[in-house]
Amino acid sequence: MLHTIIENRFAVTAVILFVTGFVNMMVHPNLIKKVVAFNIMDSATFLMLASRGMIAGRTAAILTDGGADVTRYVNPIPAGLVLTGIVVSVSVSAFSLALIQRIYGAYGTVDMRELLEAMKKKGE
Amino acid sequence: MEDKLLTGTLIVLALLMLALMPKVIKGPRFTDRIVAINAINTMVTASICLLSRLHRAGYLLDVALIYALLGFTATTLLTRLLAADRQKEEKKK
Amino acid sequence: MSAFDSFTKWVDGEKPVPLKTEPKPVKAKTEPKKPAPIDDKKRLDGFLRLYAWCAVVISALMLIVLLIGAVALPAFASPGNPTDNEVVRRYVGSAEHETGAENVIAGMILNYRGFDTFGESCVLFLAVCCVMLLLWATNDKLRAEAAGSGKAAPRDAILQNVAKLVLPCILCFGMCVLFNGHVSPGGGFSGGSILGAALILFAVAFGAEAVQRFFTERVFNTVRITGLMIYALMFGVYIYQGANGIDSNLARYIVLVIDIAVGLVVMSTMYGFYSFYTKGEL
Repeated sequence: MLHTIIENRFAVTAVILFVTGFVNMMVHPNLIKKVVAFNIMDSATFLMLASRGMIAGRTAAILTDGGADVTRYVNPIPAGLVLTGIVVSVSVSAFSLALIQRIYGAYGTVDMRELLEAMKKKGE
Repeated sequence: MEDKLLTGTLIVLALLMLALMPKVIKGPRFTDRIVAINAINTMVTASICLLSRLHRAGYLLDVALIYALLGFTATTLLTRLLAADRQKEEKKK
Repeated sequence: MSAFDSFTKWVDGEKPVPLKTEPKPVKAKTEPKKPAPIDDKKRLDGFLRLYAWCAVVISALMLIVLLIGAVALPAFASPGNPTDNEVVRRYVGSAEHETGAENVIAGMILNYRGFDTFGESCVLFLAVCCVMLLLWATNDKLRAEAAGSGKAAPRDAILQNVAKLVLPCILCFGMCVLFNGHVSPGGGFSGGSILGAALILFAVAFGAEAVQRFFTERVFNTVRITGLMIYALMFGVYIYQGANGIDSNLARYIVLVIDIAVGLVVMSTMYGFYSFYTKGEL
């Protein structure tokens, strides 16, 4: 058991990070901390993808010998996927932070609980 | 021999980073956290340089440069925001 | 008259009698309204507690399922991994003479998967548009409120001198990463973010007014729209020319130009985010 965990150490770390972010995103009442938790989940995904792409004894797919020896390089697809993921994560974080700034401007709080009460008061 | 030395240095750096983590998480003041994060950034830059030697991968030095730059910018921005907040509070008084 | 009777009358074709049950519940609802807020609070408390417990239980289940999945994967860095397949041979073997890029990742994302990266650039573009819509300070009062964090900070002699020394190096490095994206690690996204970081550092050290001398709102919009247009144009030309059958030298220039276009979009996006969050305008 321990042996398999150590063999897959990056995948296990990624899972733990992902669930940490998930719990925080669901439970934490602070909206900004929710965005931080979302970013932690993103990082876990990138770690998982990057670690899956690694093969022992091979280097990143930047051809230094003109592509003569194909078995020297790892798969370029996980790197491309991580790139896509980073861009989307940055965009989503920026958008949600802007929304939170507007919410703070309108209600004066970023706490979910206080926000519900403030919204109710405003509704009445 | 050299590889062992590099690995040992990397382990020492990782331990130092772990030792700084309590300061980051539970720093009583905001500035403590900024300083601790900056120190961790420096150590990460150093360990990326060591890794580039360990794996004989020159392109990792570029990554180290980018990391140092982003860490510097982040620290500068955070301290700037802090200074602006302080000034606002003083003006209010 | 019961509901069933009215229904049968309606079926029979006679004029339906309206059901007179509606006004009553409204009256019943209005009466116990005063104790409602306390009740609501209790209900909310109960709901939040239940919600937290459910979240923890679901997350624990998810942790177990994902851990079982993670442990069952092939060992890290072993040659049997699913990523070690024929795709590597195809990409690494023919990327250089098909795309002209020694950096296979840059060649792949800008050439084989060019539409995907175009979508990414559009995502960045749209993110800046949304942030603009949400944070644009429309009047002077809002602007003064937003400017509190950026403009009020005192000019710092140490930071200015360091920036004078460091900024040229950063700009050179960013250009180097941007222009050599197809032969070495780097490319549009990393080069663009380095240039954006340099702009942010410049704004922090010398004030936003200094940036506004050359990077006004007009320039900002022009740069990011031009970047996207160049990308669309070059990729369209590339596809129209027959994609893989193209000469490798020409393909190399197409990759380089697309890289620069992406770099422009990313640079203006980075600075745009910073500017809108600190000042509420560009």
